Amino acid sequence: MTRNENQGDGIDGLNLLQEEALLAEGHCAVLAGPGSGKTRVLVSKVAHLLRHRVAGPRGVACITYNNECVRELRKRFVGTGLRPGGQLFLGTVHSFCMSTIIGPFGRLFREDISAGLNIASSQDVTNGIAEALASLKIRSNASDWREPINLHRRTRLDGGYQDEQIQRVADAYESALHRRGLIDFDDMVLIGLDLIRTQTFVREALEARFPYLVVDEYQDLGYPLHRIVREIMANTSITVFAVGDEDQSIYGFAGADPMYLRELADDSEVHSVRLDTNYRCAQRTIDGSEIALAPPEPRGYKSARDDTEGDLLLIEDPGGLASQATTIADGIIPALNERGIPNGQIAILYVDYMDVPALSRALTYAGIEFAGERDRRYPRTPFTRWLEDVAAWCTAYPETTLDPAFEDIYQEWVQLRTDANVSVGWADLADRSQFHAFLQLLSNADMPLAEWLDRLNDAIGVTTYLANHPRHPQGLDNWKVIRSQCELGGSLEKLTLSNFAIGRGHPRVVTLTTLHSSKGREYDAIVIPGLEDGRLPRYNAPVPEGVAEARRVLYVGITRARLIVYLMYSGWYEIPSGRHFEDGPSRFVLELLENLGNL
Amino acid sequence: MYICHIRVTNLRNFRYLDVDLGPKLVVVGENNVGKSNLLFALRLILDPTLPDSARHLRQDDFWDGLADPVKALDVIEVCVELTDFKKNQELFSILQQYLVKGASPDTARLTYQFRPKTPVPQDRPIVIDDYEFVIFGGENEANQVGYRERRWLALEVLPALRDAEGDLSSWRRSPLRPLVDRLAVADNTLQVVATALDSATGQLLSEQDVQVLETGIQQRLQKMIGGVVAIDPSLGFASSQPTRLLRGLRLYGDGQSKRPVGDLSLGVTNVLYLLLLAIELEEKQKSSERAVTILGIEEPEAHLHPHLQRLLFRDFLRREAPVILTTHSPHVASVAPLSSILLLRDGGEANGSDGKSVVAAGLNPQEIADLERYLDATRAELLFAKGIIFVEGAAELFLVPAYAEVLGYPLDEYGITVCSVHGTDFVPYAKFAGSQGLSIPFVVVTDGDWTERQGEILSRGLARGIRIAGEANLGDVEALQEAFKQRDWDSLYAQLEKAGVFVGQHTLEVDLLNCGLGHRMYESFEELGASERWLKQFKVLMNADSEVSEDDSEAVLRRIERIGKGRFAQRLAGKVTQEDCPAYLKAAIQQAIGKLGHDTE
Repeated sequence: MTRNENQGDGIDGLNLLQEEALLAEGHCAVLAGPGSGKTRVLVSKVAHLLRHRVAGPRGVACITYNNECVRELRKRFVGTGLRPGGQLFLGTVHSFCMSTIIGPFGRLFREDISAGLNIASSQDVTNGIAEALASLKIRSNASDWREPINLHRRTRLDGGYQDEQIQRVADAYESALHRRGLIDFDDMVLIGLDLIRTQTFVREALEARFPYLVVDEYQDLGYPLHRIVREIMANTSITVFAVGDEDQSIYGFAGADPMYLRELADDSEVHSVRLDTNYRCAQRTIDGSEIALAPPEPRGYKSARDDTEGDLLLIEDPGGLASQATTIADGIIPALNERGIPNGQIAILYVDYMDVPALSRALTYAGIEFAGERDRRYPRTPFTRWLEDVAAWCTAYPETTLDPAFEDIYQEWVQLRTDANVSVGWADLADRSQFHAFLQLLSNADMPLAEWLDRLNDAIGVTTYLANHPRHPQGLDNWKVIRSQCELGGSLEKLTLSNFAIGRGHPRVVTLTTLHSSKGREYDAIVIPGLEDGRLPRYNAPVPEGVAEARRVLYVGITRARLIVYLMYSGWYEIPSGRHFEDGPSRFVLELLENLGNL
Repeated sequence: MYICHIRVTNLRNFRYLDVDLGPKLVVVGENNVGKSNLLFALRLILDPTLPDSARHLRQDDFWDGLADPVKALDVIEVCVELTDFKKNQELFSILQQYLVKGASPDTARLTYQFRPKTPVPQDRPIVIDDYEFVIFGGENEANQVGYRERRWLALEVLPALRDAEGDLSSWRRSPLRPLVDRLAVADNTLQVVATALDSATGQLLSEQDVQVLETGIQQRLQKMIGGVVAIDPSLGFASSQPTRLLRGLRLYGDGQSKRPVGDLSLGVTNVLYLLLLAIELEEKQKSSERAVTILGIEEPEAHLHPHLQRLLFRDFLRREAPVILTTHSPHVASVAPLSSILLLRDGGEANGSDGKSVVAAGLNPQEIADLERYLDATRAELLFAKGIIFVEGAAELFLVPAYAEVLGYPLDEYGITVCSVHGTDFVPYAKFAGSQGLSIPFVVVTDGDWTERQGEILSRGLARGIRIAGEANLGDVEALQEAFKQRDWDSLYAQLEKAGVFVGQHTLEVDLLNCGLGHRMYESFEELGASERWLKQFKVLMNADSEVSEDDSEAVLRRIERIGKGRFAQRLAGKVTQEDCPAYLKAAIQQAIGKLGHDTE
């Protein structure tokens, strides 16, 4: 558990503003800055609703940004005794639309939706676009249309398009998918919105099932979800509780925009609460992050930490990125260790993937263990996550863990086989205990991954169920990739079971990850190298939105730190072709240099 | 909410039952036709108290007609569709996940299957342990339905062999218990009553005789078993512990004299029992512990006087709460809403039991109301008939059975009922009994009624016949209409008879006169006190060589109506013989019997 337990004297140890959000009866928007305990408020709110406001079998729907957030929230819910499923729906906006709207109502109200919809693979999408282009007699490459079509579908829902051609291609593409009984992720939300907008019955059904809709990470969820929320507020009795932080909206490329949350919070029907206490960051980190963000109005967040002021250090290293990497490995990390901060509490957040080789080289050379997204050589899919969960359970055994809980792993195993049309016999105790017994046999944390995978497969025959699996279309490929990477020279060659299990988050080594994917995490110390103008903001970032988003990206990065932030720059950078750019340090660094001293 | 459709495959009595149902359900049928098994089928899906071990069926739960079901990998399936649940938000929140395309958008389906597990082992014979059961909602097996769903949507069944008296006297089983348990009496009130009770008891126990009895019991016990077993007998009215006080409440059925239930008649006990259940059911509906409770009562008529049955269930079946009754009481069936009737019949060894309702018979509300009144007035006789002869009025009601008798076909023995529609509107009855309705074999007997219309002599009876055949799907309407257009009366008569509609020439009485029953009619007039002048006039008519004229026919009918058609027919019925039976009547009787599978040659 993190340190922000028992922070206030209100209900559940909430502070006054958090409690205000908890007890708000109507629509409510919680503007929750970094470290303000938003998840805590959200979990308390849902628990409060289920205990005092909603009687079963009706329930609460809780939507969040992606599967990672779902896992995180599930953990928190389970920790407070709430198990998602039944009365509590927890999922992404896509799974919400798919399982509570399109699944039950799609084929009743839309001619083009068939009963057994499948999720379009990447190849299906390409084929669909190609078919659309052909039918419209447009001679063009399907892959060139993919992103434009997606962005168009995510942001232009209201007609009045500047580009009618792209609308025609998008329409033709969707029909092509539906004819094959396929649906893509954007489609799920768009069809969900369409059904809510046009069908009274669907609205009444949602009203009956979920008197409350709770939305997490509102700033990330994009326009279609915003439209769904507005539609629900306008035309149903459902009460909306939205949590988010417009300052942490960094998925502009996917259609997210901070203005949706702002619009919601400014609605006179919505009670809006801005949580003002930051339980994570030291005051100096907060101040620095606000300078980098340069918001139109001061946020005025106050640190709840009275133990330290913290540190925000701007480090100029004229030697370029490679030199910065060496400074990190040889200087900064040992210094942090000296101050009592272990490697597991240090994260290096990089601006660009191209920085990874230099950084990992320096760390490896200095003998510092690290883990990051990009050193995994297999995709993160629901199947590989399950496999990691099984590994984590086996690693922890004989200690029992709630995360992952045996029950969750087992239920997924049941589901995996059921989807593959194999009866499990759900009243069958034998099946459960057999699975438990097999995992027990495989619970040696130091077992080489290759051996563990082979023995697991011998015992329960995972791969026999994966061929053409409807819910894990990539499952068999994932398995083969992981297994082959275990071979000599593969990227997983020397991995043990416990190494593999830490795909779920490693407690003991330095984290190396992108600024973007640091969102939602926290560390004692953060190092952000390579802050050069042209890289952040990028040389071609549109003004003002692109630059504003770059500010928010840096803001998110800085606010990951509890105690210490290192921002590093050289004033120049190179790209892999060898070209050299000398545009000076990031303008945000310059602003910090100018203003930080005044604080 | 109600169950609007049920389909049962391969379960016990049922090879295949597939029927639409109305808002209430009254299952009517003979013994052993599967009334309880139908309830069992519903319990498989909806009863939260049925253990999963009971849902794992056995070899003998397969339909008897299956030679070796397990070897053949046969599947038992029960499938119910529920509708009209949108108003109930709790139900709507569950059932919206199981929608299927139906008459209204709020139609949901739940399916139970008992089937071989996949993959089926190839290397050895299949045994019953290779079977599993699944329950799922909608069309997608991934929507598994378990206890969590069932407990909101519960079917509770009162078995036929219940012990109302025993249940009422035992606190644990009493239907009074949940009602009392729900009472919220303040603790201090209970304390006051407990104290008062204590002192009252104390007062009685201080009487010497009572004391002697109590100590006598205690001492005798001591002698008998010593101190080995901790029994400490004492006398009292009721426990005076405040927490147990309310459990001392008893229900009495006879006002002031307060005789215990056990001393009341079985009938009264059963009324009280059902009363408490009805209240408990309504309470449950109001409270939030369930979204809906469907109460199933087997043979609710047990021990109840017919009059009470009608009063009680007329009320029961018109309440909001969903009820399922299985009955062979015509008194219960006669007060059931027509749409609630599910008639179960034995379809023979090759078919298993079959069930029919009138929900899809296309009856309009007016027709339904008329039929309900008819069933009410006739004690639902039609529902228990094996076959029906529909006739116009009282005269046929007496004469048709009389002719059947003299022709050697006693209708009662065949289970055939003659039913008067009191007029000529046969259509609702034909729909009711027709293939879209209860599928009871029937024929229609109606008058020819030839009269002049627009300068032409036409039969209103034939026109009526065409309409009946058309509305109740009895024959090829186009061919009938064509024959009418061609004025090919012989063909029309023949085609209608084939369709089961038997049309006379004139009015029944006139047809009888023309068939040579004149002498018997004369006797009847004479016995019923007709005037000399009329008798003289009638004698001329009955001895004439030709058929009677239209004017004379009307005169005869006027005379009969003066006596009363029913009265006259009642008298005449005793005098009929084989020889004077009009051909169409004989044909109608023979066809009705033939439809039941009997030989009439």
